[in-house]
Amino acid sequence: MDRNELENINPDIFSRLPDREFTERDFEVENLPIDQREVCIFFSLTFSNHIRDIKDPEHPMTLEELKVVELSAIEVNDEANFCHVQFTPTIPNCSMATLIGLAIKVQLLRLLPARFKIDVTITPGTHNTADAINKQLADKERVTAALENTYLHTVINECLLFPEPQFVPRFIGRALEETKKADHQKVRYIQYSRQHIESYRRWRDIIYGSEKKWKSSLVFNV
Amino acid sequence: MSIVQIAELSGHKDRIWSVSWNPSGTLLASCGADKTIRIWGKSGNSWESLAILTDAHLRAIRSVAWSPNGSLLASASFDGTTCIWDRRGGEFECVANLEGHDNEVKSVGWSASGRFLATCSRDKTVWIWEVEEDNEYDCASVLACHSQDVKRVRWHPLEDILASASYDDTIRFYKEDVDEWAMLQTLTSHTSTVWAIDFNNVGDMMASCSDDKTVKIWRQYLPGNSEGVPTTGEDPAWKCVCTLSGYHERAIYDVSWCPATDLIATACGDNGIRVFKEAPDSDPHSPTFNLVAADRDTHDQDVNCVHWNAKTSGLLASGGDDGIVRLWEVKE
Repeated sequence: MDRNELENINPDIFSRLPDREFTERDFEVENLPIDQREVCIFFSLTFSNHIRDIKDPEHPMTLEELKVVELSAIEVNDEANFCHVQFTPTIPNCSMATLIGLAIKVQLLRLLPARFKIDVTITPGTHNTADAINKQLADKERVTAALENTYLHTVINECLLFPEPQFVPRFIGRALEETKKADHQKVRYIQYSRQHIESYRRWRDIIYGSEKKWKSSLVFNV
Repeated sequence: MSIVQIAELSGHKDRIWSVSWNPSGTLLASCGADKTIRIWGKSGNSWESLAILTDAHLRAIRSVAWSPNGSLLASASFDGTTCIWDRRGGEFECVANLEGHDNEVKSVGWSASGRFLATCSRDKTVWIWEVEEDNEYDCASVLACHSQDVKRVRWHPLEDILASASYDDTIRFYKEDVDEWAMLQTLTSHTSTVWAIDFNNVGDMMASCSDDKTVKIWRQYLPGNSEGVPTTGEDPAWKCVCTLSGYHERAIYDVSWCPATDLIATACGDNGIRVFKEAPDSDPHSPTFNLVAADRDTHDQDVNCVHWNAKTSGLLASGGDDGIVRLWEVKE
């Protein structure tokens, strides 16, 4: 995008929180089968890494670096199947706010199992037309219809692509080896899941293959 | 009262947006994001798929509705068109394709007389189509009264009076006045999107449901009513006489008022179906409605639609984001 067209020419930039460190505790959920543990890994990665690494539509920075999303503004309740994310537009008249909110919503809808109720809203008092945008983001009919728009779909997908691969901590590697899962396809997909959104989809389908409870309308048109 | 599942109909590949019983209660049509319409019917003691209607729409099918005599089925799609299906030959055949809306068509409905068809769209308009002979449909009126996306159209059960519900939080009434369709009244009370509306059997009451998590009950008042509700000219006026709040945890996407039992069912974004009944001793001008049955886990995801069977008391169909159509028996 031409620099002259930028709405917020000099956004404040914040540092990225360090990656969440996995401890063995994360995988010591008693009596859970390995698949369930893999799901645990998946959840942890989703919240600590995925939303924050969504790219801003204007700037080559992530939403975390622009402080649009923060860990403290994310509320997740796995048992109640509930997830609420508040985001803060960089300026109060940002015209990209709907698009950013939509990208966050789409990302969560795709990555979380379909049983989750996902709410994405603007942090109160940080945008001039917050009510209108919140209403639009909450209208699932309009969100679905918007995603059937190829152009919008492409723009959102661009915001959701990540370049770097992801590493599995060594002790998990050990645990996987012990259970003879180290060479399992699922594990490979987890390791490289961030390379491309498409691999998320395959990886997701493999892990949840039996469950098949995804927001299928939101699956990628690759 | 209790809600007991009697059938689970799977086949749709994506979320279900609408379910509709034919007037004789023998066939159920369902449609959704997978661009197909499925017709379900009873064979012996079990329900099964009788037909799959495909290739008429390019995008999700949002709504299906049977004509009053049950011979035609209309389907409205996000692709901006409405198709008319004829089953007189035994098989369903697409006999007309109504174009005109600028973008997604959200709802379709036939008038009680069968003379008119109404559609509404994200383009903020409501279209009235006149049903001619030989599968011809003439646009009789384009009503641009709403200021936002129009979610639902519903005809009065006895007269050719139309109501529409919108993202602009209002419900509007329309009537033909010497060849011209005109708006009669705007109902304001909901504080967010009105997703659906439905009339009772005789058409003197209406229920509406909204993103504001409430159901409202409206009553019709005729000119010169003793309650002093103001009316204009010869036309009746509608007034909100009851608000059901605190029952639903998320947006309410559909409401169905049973013509056989007078029970009201709601479809909610919290996965639940709830059934309400007017209290026997309630004041008609300030009625009390009680929650008489509820099931919080009817679908694995949002419930998008509910529809009572007009002929079999207590038979309810529902469809959800989980892609399953379910049939329920609601009984004492």
